[in-house]
Amino acid sequence: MKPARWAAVLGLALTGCVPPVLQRPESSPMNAMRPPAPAPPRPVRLPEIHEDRLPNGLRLYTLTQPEQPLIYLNLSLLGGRSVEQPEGAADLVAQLLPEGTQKRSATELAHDIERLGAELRASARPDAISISVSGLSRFALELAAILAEVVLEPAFPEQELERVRMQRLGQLEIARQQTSFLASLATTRLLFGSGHPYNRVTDEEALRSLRRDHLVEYWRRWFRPDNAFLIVAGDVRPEQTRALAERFFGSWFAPPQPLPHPELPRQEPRAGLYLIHRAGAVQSTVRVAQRGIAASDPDYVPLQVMNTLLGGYFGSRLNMNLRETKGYTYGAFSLLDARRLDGLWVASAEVRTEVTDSALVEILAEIRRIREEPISAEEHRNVINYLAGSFVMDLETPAQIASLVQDQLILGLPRDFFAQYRDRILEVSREELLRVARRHLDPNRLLLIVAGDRERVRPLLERLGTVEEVRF
Amino acid sequence: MWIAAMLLYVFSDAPADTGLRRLPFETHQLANGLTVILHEDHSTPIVTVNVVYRVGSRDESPHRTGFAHLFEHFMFEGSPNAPGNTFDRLLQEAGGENNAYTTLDYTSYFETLPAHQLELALFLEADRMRMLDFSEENLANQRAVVQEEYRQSYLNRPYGQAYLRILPLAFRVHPYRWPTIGATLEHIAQATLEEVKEFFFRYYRPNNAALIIAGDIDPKQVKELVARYFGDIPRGPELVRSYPEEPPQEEERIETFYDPASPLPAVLYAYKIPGVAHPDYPALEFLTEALAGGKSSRLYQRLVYEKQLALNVGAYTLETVDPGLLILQVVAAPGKQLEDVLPALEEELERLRRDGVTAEELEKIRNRYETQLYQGRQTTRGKADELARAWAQLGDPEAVNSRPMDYLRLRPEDLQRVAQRYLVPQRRSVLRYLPGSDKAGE
Repeated sequence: MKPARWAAVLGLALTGCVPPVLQRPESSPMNAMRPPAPAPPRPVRLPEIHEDRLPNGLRLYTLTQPEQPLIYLNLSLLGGRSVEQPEGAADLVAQLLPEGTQKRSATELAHDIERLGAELRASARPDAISISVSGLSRFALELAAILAEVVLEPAFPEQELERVRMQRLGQLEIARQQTSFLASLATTRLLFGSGHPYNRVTDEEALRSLRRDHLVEYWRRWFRPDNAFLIVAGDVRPEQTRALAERFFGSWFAPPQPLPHPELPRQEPRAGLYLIHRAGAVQSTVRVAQRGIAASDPDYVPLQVMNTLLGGYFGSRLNMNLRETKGYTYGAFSLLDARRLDGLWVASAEVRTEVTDSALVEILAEIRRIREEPISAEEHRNVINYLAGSFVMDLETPAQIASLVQDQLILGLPRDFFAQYRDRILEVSREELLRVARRHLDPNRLLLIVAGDRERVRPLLERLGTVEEVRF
Repeated sequence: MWIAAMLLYVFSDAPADTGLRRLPFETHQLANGLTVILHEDHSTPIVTVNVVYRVGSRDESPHRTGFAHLFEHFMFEGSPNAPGNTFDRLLQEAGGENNAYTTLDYTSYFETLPAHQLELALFLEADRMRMLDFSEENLANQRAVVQEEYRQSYLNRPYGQAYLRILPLAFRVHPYRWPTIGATLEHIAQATLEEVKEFFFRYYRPNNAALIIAGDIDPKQVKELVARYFGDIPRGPELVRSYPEEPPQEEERIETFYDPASPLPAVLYAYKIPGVAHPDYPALEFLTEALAGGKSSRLYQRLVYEKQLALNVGAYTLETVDPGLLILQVVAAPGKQLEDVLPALEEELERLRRDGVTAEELEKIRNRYETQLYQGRQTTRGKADELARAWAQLGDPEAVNSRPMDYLRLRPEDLQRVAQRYLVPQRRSVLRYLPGSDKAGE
């Protein structure tokens, strides 16, 4: 198997995740035939999203796709982790919402949801908290009622907070054994620095100091209908969405005071070579990272194409070099993580310890090459057709389409962003790729971050420059 | 030339007792033995092509474990009319995603792409079924890549070695005793090109494969394309398979493994159970749901919520053709030892055997099963995979419609009966997975 598409490398949430103890994982007339050439991508018709709004400001979006008897409801609140005070508050708010309401205990809630065969999930991302419930459409009414109860009448029970605190500390203890986690932690801390709204990690210190009133305060401030939207997708019609929203969210009250906005300091992180020790690691995680752009940046689409070519798909330069040519790794990737206010770019690979320095050298060489050498017509065609053609696969299920709508709203993208997306990709020229690579990738601003066994890795890294050892 | 075996039509009326929707398909076989299964769905302009071969790690030599999976990697390294990385390059340019996975019993290859690009996927799959580029250099590269996969997924990950340890404890004779990734890195490092060739011409033949095409297709046109691309690929040998039979387990086996990179104690219980086609199998799968499916499950409620002895719990079956395993796993909460956890775990297992499940509990499990079934059928890839597994594991794609009925008809007494029969200590292997290192220096 090839590695799955980029799981978000900076996914430090670890909310409710189970540590992966185990995973489920002659001759013929055809000879000398040429393969049929790939046909040009066809225009993609975005399914119609029906928009509506309640008098209290709650925005409603409906996507009707009745092929399977399923329904998906997602309620998101803007702000997310970027506005949390203290660190970890939004993360724990999301985790505790399903753990008890004014009417039902955690156990009753779990039974009532799962009895319907449904699933309730809540998570905090950098710019929003999202609560979703998915299940059989014949239970639409019950599912909407549970979603509203969880959002509007949470209890944040002390005993559940203590249990979640204990579980999360245990998960962190396990995660700290993983070089990939340590590298992610260091990337977040080093790249954004103190005072930045994206410098958020729910670490041991945050977990130990969070109190119930922090969660209640976060909920009071950010859970309001004019800061929220509801997406309903699947075997559902717009008038059903309206009726459900009026019934369950109609009396949700919007307070008069305006919503505050997070501050964005523009201090630049210190470029350099950083090492995080993990005794006995048989592989190192290597990361090359720098600050990136917000999703609203006019270069967002061309930069996505550039990143795909460099490290965003199986045929990317990084993967072809580090995996297919050198055999250093199971997969090398890069990620353009553009958020509402700011962003980052990071390249990553898990490599055997003895090639830790060689892997970094190759990543840096690929960064240099994409800024200096013209891109061939064939490579350009391959990447834009891949992105434009595979976009249709992001529109296959109601939950996938809902997640695009969610991204557009959370990242503050223009309404027609995804309708225009395919055409904009196809318009990105070779010259433009070179321009955005030169403009946004800066060899002088790169942070080289390695998590691995100090004894074996440090001597290798010292060939490349001064090594600074860090702990977080 | 293709021989129509049977054509199945869409029945819109589902059986009255469950209201389950049918997954419609039609199937035929080519003269060379290739089974072709078509599912038509015009709701999205997407198609998935899935080629599944009945060969997995159980077909390996004990001296060359991990070979079926290494071979799977080699299948992407080039074929006569698509040399080098042409396979990936053309599919990418067509806007397609492709991947593959290897199990103990079968190997599945799939590409999902815009529907108008179907012919390209058929060409590429046919070309690599016909012949490969047997290059020493490609093999050397994939040997290295797979060893890094081994390190990343099993050796450099907390609890990653549990799977590598539990199989040889539970199985002593049957080839399920080693994992798909391989028993050791050395076996992967030693694989030769000669072995790759031999494996290909024995197992990667049309008479040992099924081609599933699901999505926005015109079956009439697709049949012509399939005949054109796959029709003249020569048959392989008739395979007579026999696997050494695992002798019945008479007593509990216990092993302790120390892993300094896994900071909290964990335990795995692996119970011997029959294979996927056995009449008791659906009830066993439902038992895993009763025990650890969701937060309302018995073990989660008791060990995580109520007693706070465990960080998490899990239960699942190895979906195997030959008799396999039902595995329970528990990771202890911080500050707890296995000795704190095990009595409550044993009590829950005893309660399940003694009292069985309630009618409400079974209704919950049925609803969860139904939701998961439909969720899998939201994508062409999910539907193609379901059909591929039905053919590879149960020998009949119609199982996608008949087998769910066996699940939805289960009664509480069925679950209690299999709990009493299979979830007993003498049928299980226990892996105690502890932090630190073995003080005895074994």
